[in-house]
Amino acid sequence: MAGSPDDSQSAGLAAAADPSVVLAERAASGDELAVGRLLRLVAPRVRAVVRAVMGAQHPDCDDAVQLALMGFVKALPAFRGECDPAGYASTIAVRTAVAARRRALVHEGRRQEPPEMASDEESPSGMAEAGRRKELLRELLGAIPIEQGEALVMRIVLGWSLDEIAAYGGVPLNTVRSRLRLAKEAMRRRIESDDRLLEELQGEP
Amino acid sequence: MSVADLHPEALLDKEIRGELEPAERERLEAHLAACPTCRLERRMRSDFALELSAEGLEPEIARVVETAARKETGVRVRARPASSRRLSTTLLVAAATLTIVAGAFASTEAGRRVLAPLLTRTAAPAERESVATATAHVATSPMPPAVPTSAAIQPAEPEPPAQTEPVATAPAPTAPAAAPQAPAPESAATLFDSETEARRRGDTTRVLELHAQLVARYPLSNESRVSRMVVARMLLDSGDAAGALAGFEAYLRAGAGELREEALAGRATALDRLGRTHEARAAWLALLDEYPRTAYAEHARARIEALGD
Repeated sequence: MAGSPDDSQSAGLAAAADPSVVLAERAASGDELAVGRLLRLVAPRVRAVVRAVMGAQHPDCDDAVQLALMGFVKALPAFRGECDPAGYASTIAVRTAVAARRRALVHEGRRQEPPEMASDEESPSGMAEAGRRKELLRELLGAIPIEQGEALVMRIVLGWSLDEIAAYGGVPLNTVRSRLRLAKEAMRRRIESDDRLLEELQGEP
Repeated sequence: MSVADLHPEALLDKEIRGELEPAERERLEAHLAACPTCRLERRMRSDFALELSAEGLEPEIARVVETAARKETGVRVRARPASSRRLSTTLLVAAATLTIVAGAFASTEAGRRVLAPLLTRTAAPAERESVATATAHVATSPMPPAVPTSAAIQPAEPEPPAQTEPVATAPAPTAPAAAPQAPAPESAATLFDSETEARRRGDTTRVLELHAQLVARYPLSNESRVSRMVVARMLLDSGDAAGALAGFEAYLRAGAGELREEALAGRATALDRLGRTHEARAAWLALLDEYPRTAYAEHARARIEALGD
């Protein structure tokens, strides 16, 4: 099965480029197999991000994963190949999950989430503290503007630098800086209103 | 605006990457002492890094998506064992919906030919990110020795059918167009050998890519088990204690293995470095309990004593 010269050239480029970016470009151009492959590549990440933002036990988690993956596929034509497709998908997952989390808070009020499952290896106290901290972040998402929430999640959940948040989010660095500063201000107020958390943090190195 | 309002995000990032200069560390510590917000941010990033670093251990959703996509595109997938048929109906619906969305795109035969070599590959951006996001902490103890090597690998077990590549010669009868023949998939052994070679070259990114491919495609193979240990050890050496901890725990969760002793020691070391004192002490005790004559015994006892009750 000999390919056309164009195909050979493309294959050479494919070999030289990041395979996941090439895959995303092919998916964006309409290759169904590439779409399937790409979804396989990003889906675990998308699900992990959604679960982290919403809480693994949240009843709307699976719906949000669906929405995020569908959003990713729909957004593929806009993918420029300038970044990692998993990062691109993560950005969409963050936006979807933050919005879903806010919707849930608005519609249902601040209900008590079921505790997250602890692994056998984790200590109950350590897991409980980590769970409280995660829940605090999720609570904050309902109390701050959505753009600030997205920036905060990209920073804390995805662990991105400010430059990365700006690049993936498509906003100027100073905007990211400003959003994060305001989000952290809300976080500080939340900490100061929680004696238990304040005490826990005072023990931090 | 007080000093605590100027949060040193760049220093926190450098700390994670293990790139802090002494003067920068001093500045960061001074800020952290005055800023509970950044202390919380640092803890939260570590919490979520741990959560996200385990994502590679749950390939089920990826298989669901791919299986549905392959069904839609006429590529036959061999039947999966009953144990792996536990699929979320919701996710199946999602996958089917996605393939419908995907079907809206125009399909290109040339694209398929170009992609063919890539279809056996799964890049590992997620794992790369997990490395970047995991919080590195100051080492509190020397590292235990004994890096596992390829010599520890047993012959590869039969691969689970669900992980295999499509049988390329047999497109489903209803397929609108015959799919191109996919190349023979790389075996678990080949992937592991490539990973070992990349590790020797010091190409960490490539190691993580190959590790992700191996674990995603052959999660139950001996190569995957050993690779988890190798990568965990590599992360530990590079200062990524959180990522290492996830790797050691993944190895231990997978059941009995010839490197269990090393995994227990690695887990204890990672916990130690993360400052999780009580858990580290319990982990060292567990190692001694299970392997009283371990080569790590002296170090374990020293750490137990240092960590106190």
